[in-house]
Parts: sequence; C-alpha cells; structure tokens
Amino acid sequence: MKLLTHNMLTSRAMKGVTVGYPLKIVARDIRVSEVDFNPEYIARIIPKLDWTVLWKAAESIGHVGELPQILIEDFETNEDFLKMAHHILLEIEVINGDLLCPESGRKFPINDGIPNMLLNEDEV
Amino acid sequence: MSSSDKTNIMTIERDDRKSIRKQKRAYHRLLRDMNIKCAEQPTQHLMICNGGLVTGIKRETLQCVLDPLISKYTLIMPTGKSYCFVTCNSKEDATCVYNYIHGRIKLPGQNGPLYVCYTETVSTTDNVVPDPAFPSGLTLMENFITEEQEKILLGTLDWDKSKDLVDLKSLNLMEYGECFLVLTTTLAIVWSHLKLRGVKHFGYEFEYETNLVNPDKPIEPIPQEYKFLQTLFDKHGHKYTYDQLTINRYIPGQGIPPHIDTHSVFEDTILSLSLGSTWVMYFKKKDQKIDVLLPARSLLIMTGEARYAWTHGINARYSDVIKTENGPTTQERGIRVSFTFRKVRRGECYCDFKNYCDTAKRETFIDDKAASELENSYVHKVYEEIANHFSETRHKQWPNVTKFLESLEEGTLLLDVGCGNGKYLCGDQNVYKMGCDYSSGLMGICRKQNFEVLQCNCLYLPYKDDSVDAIISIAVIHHLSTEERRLRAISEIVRVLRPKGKCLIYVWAMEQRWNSQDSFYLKSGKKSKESKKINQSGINHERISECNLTLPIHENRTDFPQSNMLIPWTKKSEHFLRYYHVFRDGEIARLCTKIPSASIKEVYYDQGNWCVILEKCMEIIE
Repeated sequence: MKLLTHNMLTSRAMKGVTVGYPLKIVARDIRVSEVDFNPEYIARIIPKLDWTVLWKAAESIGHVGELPQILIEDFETNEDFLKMAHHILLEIEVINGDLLCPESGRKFPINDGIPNMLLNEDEV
Repeated sequence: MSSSDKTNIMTIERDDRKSIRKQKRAYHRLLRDMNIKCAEQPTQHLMICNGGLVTGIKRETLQCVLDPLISKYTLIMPTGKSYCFVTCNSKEDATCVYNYIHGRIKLPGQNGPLYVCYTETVSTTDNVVPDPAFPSGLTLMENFITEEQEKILLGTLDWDKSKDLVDLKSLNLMEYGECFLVLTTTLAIVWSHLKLRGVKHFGYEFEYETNLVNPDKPIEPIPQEYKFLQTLFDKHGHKYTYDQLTINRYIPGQGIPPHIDTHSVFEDTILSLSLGSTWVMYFKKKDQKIDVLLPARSLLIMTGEARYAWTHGINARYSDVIKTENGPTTQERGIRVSFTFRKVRRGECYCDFKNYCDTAKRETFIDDKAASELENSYVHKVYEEIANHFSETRHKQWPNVTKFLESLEEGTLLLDVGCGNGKYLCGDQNVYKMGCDYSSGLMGICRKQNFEVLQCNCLYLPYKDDSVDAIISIAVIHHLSTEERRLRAISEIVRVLRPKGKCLIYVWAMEQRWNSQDSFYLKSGKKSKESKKINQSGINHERISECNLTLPIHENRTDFPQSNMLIPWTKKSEHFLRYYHVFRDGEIARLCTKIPSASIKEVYYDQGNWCVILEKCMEIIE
C-alpha cells in the first residue's frame, strides 16, 4: 500500500464510526522502490490530497525525511519539493502491517502489500 | 320517480306460507350481518327484507309507498345490503306499515312482493362512510369534452357489425392474488347471462385470451376523427402519444371483472373517457374498495399505484348506488361507451409494484438475506477457486474501456472497482491507478505485477467521499443479486467520485443481439455449434437450499431466458456456477437515475454489455 492510497482510505462504512479517517498505520515491513519521476504528474496530484494526513502518515512510519509539515506555496514549480513528495507518495510501500480505525481500533491487516478492508456483516 | 313507476306499485294477495319462509331467512341474515334481532311482537322498527339498495330499489320509490301511510319516519338504506329499515314514531305506525306492505306491495322491477319484519333495533346509519380518497395516482377530470364533442364521438360508432362483439365468456383476464377469486365467482354468476359486450380496437389488437398485444402487428390506426382527443391530452400535459384505443360499449346489466392492465403490455398512464350514461367503476386493492362515479364526458386518468396496483372493474348491474343529500339511492344505468387510450410498451415494466407486475413475476425473487449467501457461494467462493484460470483467460482490454482510460488527463486518480486480475491497471504512468476486489486470489495476482490494490466489498468501498477522479467498474455489478445491492454499489462509486468526476460501468446485457448483431459471446458459441433457440422447458435448474432458491442454469453461448441466472465456468474437468443478474435494455439507466448526485452522460450497448458513463454533480440539487 502506497501512502497516496492511504490518503483516501477510511473505515467510515463501519457501524458506529462517524469519520474513520485517517487510518493509523502500523508498519512491520516497508519497501522502498524506485519509480520514474514526473514532476507535472506529481504537481497535479498534490492539490487533491490531505497534506497533513500525508505528512503524519509518513512521520508515523519513519519516512517523513525533510518533507515540510505544511504544503509550500510554490509546490508546482519547486522540483526538490516535488521529488520529495514523489518519493513519499509513490516509492514507499507498506508491505506488511495493519491499518487501524481511529475510532473503533478495528485492525485491517496488510499482507503482501494488500490491505484487507473486508468487513463482517455485523460490522456494517 | 316517474308517474308510470307510481302506477306500477301493485297491491297483491299475501301468500302467508311463503312470506313466513322469507321472514325466517331475513331474520338469520340480519343477525349474522348486523347482530340485530327480529321481533315476534310489533316494535317501532321495521326491516323491509327485500327492499335494499342492492336490489335496485330507489329511496324515492319507498318514500312514495310510506308517505301516504305515516307522517313521520326515518328510512335507513345501508349500502351493499338487500334490505332497509324504517323507524316509525310508534308501534302503531309500524303496525300500520307492516299490515299494508308485508307480502302485498310489489315495486316496479321486483319479482315478488315486499316482505317486512319487526326488529328490536336498526342499524344506526346508512353506513355512509365519508368518501374515501381516490387511490393514489387516480384523477377524474369532469367535462373533459363538450356535449357536442360527445355527440360526434358517439355518432362515429356503428355497433351493428357483429365482428366487433366479444364473447365475454371467453375472456381470460389476468388476475392477481385474491382478486382471482373475485373474478372467478363474478364470471360464474354474472357472465352466464351476459352475452356480448361491444369492443373495438385501434392501433393494436388487445388479445383477450392472453391479455397481450403484439407490438409488431399494428392494426388500423386510431382514426383521424379521434385525433382531437390526443390534442386535448397534449394540452393537459400527458406525455404519451397514445397508440392503442379500445372502445367499449356497455349496456345495462353488463360489467367488466376486476383487472389490472398487464404491466408489460402498456405504459404507465392510461386514460379512459366516459360517454353516455353515468356508471360506477370500483377500484380494489387488498381489502380497500373505492367506488368512483364516472360521469359522461369525464376523463379518468390512471397512473402509478392506481394503474399498477389497484384492480378496476364494473359490477354487472342494471343500476348503481349513488349518494344523494338524503342518503344513498340507486340510479338506473343507460348505455355507456368508454374510449380507453393506452400506450403500447416496448420492453419490460420497471414499476415499483412488483407484487402486481408480470415482468417482476417472471423473475426469481431474491430477498436480502438470500442475496449475501448467494453471492458468497456463487460469486466470491467461485472466484477464489477459479482465480488463476480466470486470470489466464482475461488479458485483452475491451476497446471502449481503453478509450475511456485514454481520455483521462495527467494526474488523474483512478479506481477500478472489481478489478479482477488488474487488466485495466497496467500501463499509463500519468494516471494513478488503484484497484479493489473481493477476491484475495485475484488481488494476489495483481500484486505480482505490483498493482496498487486492496481487498474490499463493493457495497462498502473504503475510500473517502469525493476522493477519486475517475472510476471504472467492468463486469462487476451484475454479480449483485438484488436491485438494492446493485443500486448501493453504484451509489458507493458515485460517493467516492469527486464532483465532475466520471465513472464507466459495464454490466452484462440480457439482450445478446442488438441492431441485428450477435455479441462476441454468442458468436464464439457458434464456432462449435449452431446457436440455439431457447427452450424454456429444457433448462436445467440448480436448487440452492441454503438460500431457499432455485435458479436456472444458463447454457453457455445462448440467449438468456431470465435475468437471474447461474452461468457455468469450466476449468478442465471442474465445473463451477457463477451468479449473474443480466441487465435488460434501459435497466442500468433507470437504476442510475435513482442516484441524485449523478447525471448520466452516455448509455451504450457494447458487445453484449450495457454500459453507462456517469458524472458526479457539483452539488446535489434538492
């Protein structure tokens, strides 16, 4: 699971959960791999994200590096910044671990990079 | 009351033996009906045993008999009863009436004399319940046409042609539930002495044996001289150009059994123009019955519930009970002519009144509890079993899906709901592609190619509202076994989409031929054998005991006989069955219109699939 995906995930479908966002990450196994960098592509994706959630997620798994906590104003043209964002969004993957619902504490296991977000019938 | 009626009131000799027998019968009936006892000795209350509204007697006629006898009395005529009550001021008055009437007075139109009993009490009212509201969806427009126009319409008809007469005994009107009982008894009692009702059809022939219309076999169109009616309908905002007209002529004593116009044969709104005499039509649904007086020149408009769920009929009688200021009375019928305008439906009925719908009845009904069991055993488990084999056979992208993906701009966040082996997740570095699926086996296959996927149920997508730019869901929603679940899945997709975001949905079509072209699915079946016509009786069924369901098993590469099917998957020597709901023409669009936050951009047919492109609205317009 990449952190870009994590930025959109919620456990709100669960009974009794009102926001369910962001999910906490417990990462046991992280893989960093190289992905081709395309600054325009990253610049277009950034405005669609919840930056604070991304930053906290990166920090919680120890990969925040030099990433600024607040989105910089000239992010579209600042190539160093875009490279950092690219790395955080696309090159880091949680391979094994858990996602945790912030309200109920329900665990969603991540195995081989695949979060299992299936809910039991009595949870919805 | 006419003077001739007055002279027709006859005084005759009383036959005591006969009248005692009649009184006894009335005694039991009254006890049963109203828990009122008859009295041996005179009281101030009288029951006229055979002088009720149901026997066709008018209030005024009885008043003509009573007025000369006693100065003050109350006449109570309960609706739906063959008897009535007279409450006098004293026992003496009552005795006077009894002696004068009982067994001695014969009213016009009656076979025998009136019989009278003393009773302990009377029913408190005429049972005049306040007019129940019309069934929902029923409207009556009085004076829809002028008397002049009515005359012209009646003048166009020539009923002497014997070919226009229908033998009512051969009618086989489709009935639903308890109404069937009503119909069969009505037929037995009434139609035996009714012979011919005049019926004329234009546009399309309504076949009474089957209650169907053949839309491919038009007959003489609606004559030019009736076109002004369509103009009037248009003026009142009716949306159809009516293409089927049935003209009925009813003579007193005739009626029509309760029926619902077959859903799949005619569109929603049915119009009926009444000419000539005023008759009562009744509407029935379960234990509710509502009488509707149809005055001459009035237009009856049946839509929605009134058209789909209420039966309507006319009692075979010579008079109707109508309400007046003094209470209910009867009104004799004259000849009534009705012009019924209907729009022939091409396709299936999608009404919300499934219990009354012939389209819905052809389908196996699956309830919500059975649905998740069914999908678990006949979708989820099967995909786990066949994941590898399925993936090996699913590589080629469908060209129109590829076209949709290619139209996405750089930096698009794309989600594939039910991504399977991820055949749409590969390629294009400028779109961020995510997939999700229920099958862990297929997700494992996706991960081997480093696709970004997760496992979830499409009824509960784990993505935030307004978070994704574009979504595809190809050949997924047809695995959901109730309409609620299919709607929920599409609603989830729309929820996750950003405003102005688009999704593309493909579902398997019931119609495997469109515009005279066979789909690839049928064509590939023809390579090995000639395509077969469906033989309904030759279809195998699978009994699914845990869901208490039986579903037909589809023969691969043939047409679908119904929309809920089990489709075989063969892997070497192993056989599996997958559940599919194949969509009919118009069904996917109809489903999508139920989602207020989505607008339909395009609906198309693509190689045996129905496809829709939706766009999420900027904001929901309340």
